[in-house]
Amino acid sequence: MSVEKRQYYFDQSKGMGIIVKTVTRLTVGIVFLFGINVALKGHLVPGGGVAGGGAIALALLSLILAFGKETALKNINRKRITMIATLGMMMFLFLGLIGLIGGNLFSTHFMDNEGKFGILKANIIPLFNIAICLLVGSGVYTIFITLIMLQVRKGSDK
Amino acid sequence: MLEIPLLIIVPLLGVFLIVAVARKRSPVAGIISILAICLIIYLYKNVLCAIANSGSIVYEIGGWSMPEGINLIVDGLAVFMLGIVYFISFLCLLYSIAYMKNSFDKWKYYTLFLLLMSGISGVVLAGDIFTLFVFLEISAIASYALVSISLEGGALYGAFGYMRMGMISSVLILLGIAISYNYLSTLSIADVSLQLGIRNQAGNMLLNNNIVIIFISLLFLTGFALKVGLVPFHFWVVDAHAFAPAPVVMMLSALIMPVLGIYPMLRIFFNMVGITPRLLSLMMIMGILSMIIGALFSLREKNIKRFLSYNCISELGFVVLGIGIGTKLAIAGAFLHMISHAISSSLLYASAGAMDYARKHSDEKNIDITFKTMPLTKGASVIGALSVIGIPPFNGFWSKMIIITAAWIAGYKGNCLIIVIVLILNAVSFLKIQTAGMVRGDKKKSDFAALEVPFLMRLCMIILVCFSLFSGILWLSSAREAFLDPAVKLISQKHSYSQHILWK
Repeated sequence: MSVEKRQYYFDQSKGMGIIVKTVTRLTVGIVFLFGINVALKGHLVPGGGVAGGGAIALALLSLILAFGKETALKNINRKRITMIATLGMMMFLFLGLIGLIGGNLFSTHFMDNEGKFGILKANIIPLFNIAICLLVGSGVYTIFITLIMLQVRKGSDK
Repeated sequence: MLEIPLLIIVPLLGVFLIVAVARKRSPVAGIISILAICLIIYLYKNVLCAIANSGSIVYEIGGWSMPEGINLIVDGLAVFMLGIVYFISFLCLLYSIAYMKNSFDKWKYYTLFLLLMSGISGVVLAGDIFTLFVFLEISAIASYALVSISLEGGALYGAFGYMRMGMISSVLILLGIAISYNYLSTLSIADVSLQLGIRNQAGNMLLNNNIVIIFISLLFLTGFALKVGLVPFHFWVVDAHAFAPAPVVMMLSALIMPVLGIYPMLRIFFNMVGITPRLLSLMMIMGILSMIIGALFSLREKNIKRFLSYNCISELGFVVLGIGIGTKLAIAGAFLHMISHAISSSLLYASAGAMDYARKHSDEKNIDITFKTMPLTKGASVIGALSVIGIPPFNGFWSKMIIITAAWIAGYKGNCLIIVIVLILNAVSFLKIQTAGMVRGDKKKSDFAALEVPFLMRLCMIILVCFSLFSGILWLSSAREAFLDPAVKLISQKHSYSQHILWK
């Protein structure tokens, strides 16, 4: 742990207590991976982009709750997260537009069904899931960031 | 038909481009949105040519066929509505480029505008009710944000009221969709109609007395009447109109309220569930109530935007009354009135917005100042008022005359009387507002600095005035056959829609 990180970690004025911080530090990665897992296996088992994106957003939110908004917003700020959301939307749209090539219909399954990788066996549905996962995760996080920022602004006015 | 999905995709692409490129350079945002809308109009022209040959086109997204997949359907009614939408929104965009020149975050405005365009196109093109609901929500959320874009207290208040009522209506519509899906196991509009017809023929269900169908119909009627702002549900309309910027109000009154409310009502009641006499009379009562109450409340208003919003409720009441009468002529009149309402209300709001732009006030006592220095705005306002009252050369006369004639032929002679009384009330209230501008104020023109609105706003008003003068042409036989008759035919013939779509 670097000096700066240690400072955040033991600083009682920012975020919650040290127990919560430790537990969050241990669980955040697991929740994040679980979200990715749910999103990537969406075409095989119940789940998909929205559920996975929600899990990822909740992982990020628990970071905000445990470590305080300054610490979290310093690492994942609003501009970056908006760009990720735009990336997700663009990815979805262009996956649909690729289907148009060759006179096909919008969002046609343009790949061969015998994909080499297991994940691509459902054609473009996993890719759609990834796009939705990016979009939902960053979107939910953006909503919470906006609420927090409004609160900060209101507090500073007083 | 490549063009059909592109009608939805092109504005979305514009949204992403603006977010990615034009956040720091706001003139670029305006250029991108103008380009997007020009491209859409070009695509729409192609769709129009294709529809003239084949009658209706089904676009299967991803190649999934009709009852199961998501489908976009273009037919007479959709082409008719899209025509109004693209014409008015192009003018609104021209207007807003001049109007929003000095506002703070322009790229946000253009982003929301294009998102709204995409949502409205989706609502009109959707072939199943759930897709329709999704696009309804997209455009509704974009319009909540657009109403509150100035972030003033009044605008936030109005947008919050609008959002509250919009959310209630969305919940009701979603409940209706869920119940109908549970009952019939299908979401496609044509397929629901077909399944209901099959069950009706098999005799295990009487369409008029089936409690589920009545419940679904009432849910949809309430939900969409909330979106239109018909009278028992009109509380959000005035506050939402009062503080929003003028181009947003133009969109709200001319497009968002009819397209998000009346168009899905037509699709669901006439093409999906099947209309019954009871529903028709319910719609007629709502139309009459909103006509009378809108006209009465507009008498006491002093702020122009609030006055015009009550007037807008009254005008949309005419459309719903025409639909409620239910004969072919009445529905044609209602469609014509939808066009004429779009033109005249956007003309009135454009002139009110020009005064706003010049004065930053729109109280009645201040009208004379702007009227004296802005002859074009004055002319536009007068012509819009004449059109709403129903003076012959202007567009309002033709549509109202057709609705009155249809009501007389169908035997609703009391309704004709009510329409005439409402027109007299409209005339009184407009005279009150206009005379306040013309007679009062003995200051000379030279007392005021010349307050000219920018060229684009003037151009927009001139175009609207021209269309207001000449839109009676639409009732001539050739134009009517091309534009109005396919839409009317689709509504008035009960089972033609599902047969047309499913056995293509």
